[in-house]
Amino acid sequence: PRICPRISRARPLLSPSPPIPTPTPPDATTRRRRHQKRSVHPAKPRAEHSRGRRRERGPAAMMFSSQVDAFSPSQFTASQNAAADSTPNKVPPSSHPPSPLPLQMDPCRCRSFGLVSQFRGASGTMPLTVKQIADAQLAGTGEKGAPFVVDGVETANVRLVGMVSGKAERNTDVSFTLDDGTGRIDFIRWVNDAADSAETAAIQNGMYVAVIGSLKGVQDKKRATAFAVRPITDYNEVTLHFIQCVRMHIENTKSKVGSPAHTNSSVGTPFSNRLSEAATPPSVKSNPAPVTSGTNGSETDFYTQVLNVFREPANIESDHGVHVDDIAKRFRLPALKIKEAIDYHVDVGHIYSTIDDFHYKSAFVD
Amino acid sequence: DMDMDASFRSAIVNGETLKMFVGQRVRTVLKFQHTQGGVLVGQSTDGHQLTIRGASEGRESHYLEVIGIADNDQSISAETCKDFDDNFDADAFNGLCKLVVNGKVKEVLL
Repeated sequence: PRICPRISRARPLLSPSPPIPTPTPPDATTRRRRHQKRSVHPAKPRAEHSRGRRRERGPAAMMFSSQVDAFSPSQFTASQNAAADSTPNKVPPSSHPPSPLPLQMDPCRCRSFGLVSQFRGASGTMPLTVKQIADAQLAGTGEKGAPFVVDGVETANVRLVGMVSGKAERNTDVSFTLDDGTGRIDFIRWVNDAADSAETAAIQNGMYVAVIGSLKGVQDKKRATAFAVRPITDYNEVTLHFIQCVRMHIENTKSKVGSPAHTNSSVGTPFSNRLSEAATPPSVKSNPAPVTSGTNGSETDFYTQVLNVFREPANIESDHGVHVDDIAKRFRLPALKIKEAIDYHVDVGHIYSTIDDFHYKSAFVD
Repeated sequence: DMDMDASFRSAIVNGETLKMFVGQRVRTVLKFQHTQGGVLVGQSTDGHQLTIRGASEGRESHYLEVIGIADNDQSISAETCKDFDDNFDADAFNGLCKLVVNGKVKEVLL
């Protein structure tokens, strides 16, 4: 009865996902199997090509597992599920088209839990530090109901990691302060049912937690709203979160027009390895395609041109990535030719398939 | 309200970058080695030996997160300590420490 309207609008972000493939028994349906494949896929190229890149993969793999445990479907009650199902159009803004899959099986909803997508979490869940939020507020965004803008990107739903303090429990809500070392922010977590109570009861002062919440109204209310608060048990997640914040910052503030060979060597070791690998085009190809005017104009070989398409900002932004046919149309080549390049890039871990075997997405951010 | 007060912010440091924040609040993760005479000795993620004053007890082969004021380039007076278990990725943390002082991105964390 005491459902906070803000929460019910936000629920679609946290609507139930299909059971996570690894811990659950395999399902007979093709769709479920395909979803299983998608969920595991992004991790696959990383595991196979872990030489020299293991370090940044380790925490990522652990992060996936700890998030899986926390955001299980059992956490959500029937009323919340009903609210989510009844408002299918209230999905937070994202660039992906409506999914052909039933609501419960939509892999994009899985991404809401940050399981499939590497760093973005979901339609708009941005990893941030309190300092980034404070700087955005200082810049005047978010005032009078306007959207919060961080690094030039409209940001509603955020993910923070920090230490809890000042926890206060009331009948309808729990409030606390989150300190991530870069600043402090107050959160309120509405408590509607037993599941919410159980979640908040587990949170104690001095504990590290991951919070998914919203910045809407934070200017007026002087506090942000938390949708989910989860204790952190694997402290690599703390490291990983900050690295993700830096990475998103780089992605959002970097010039959108860049050549694929550009490497930003001043930004820490973990990224420069990946950048230099991506910049090396393959020397083996059967039929070099004519250079199209859509690229940066210089003579680059075909495989690199195909990769460039995936690395365009709009395609990196898109949840489903790019369809093979779209690339074929662009280059005016048969899809089979494009598939050749795609297979190569999947093998070396540059791209991965998303909702089906025709959609692919860059594994890197520029 | 988001607190703009920088007085309680902490810079994430390793052995090498600690000296850049002497007198300021820092946080680091180090591997517990031993305690002696009321101080805790640990190894930073970049192989430096650091002394932590006022630390809670450390556990053998466990990592420990320390938040406190940097006394000098090798010592921290702890305000809080937290056991970070034994499966902590020291290399990843070390990489993060380098990002903190990287001119292009440090505004995210500092």
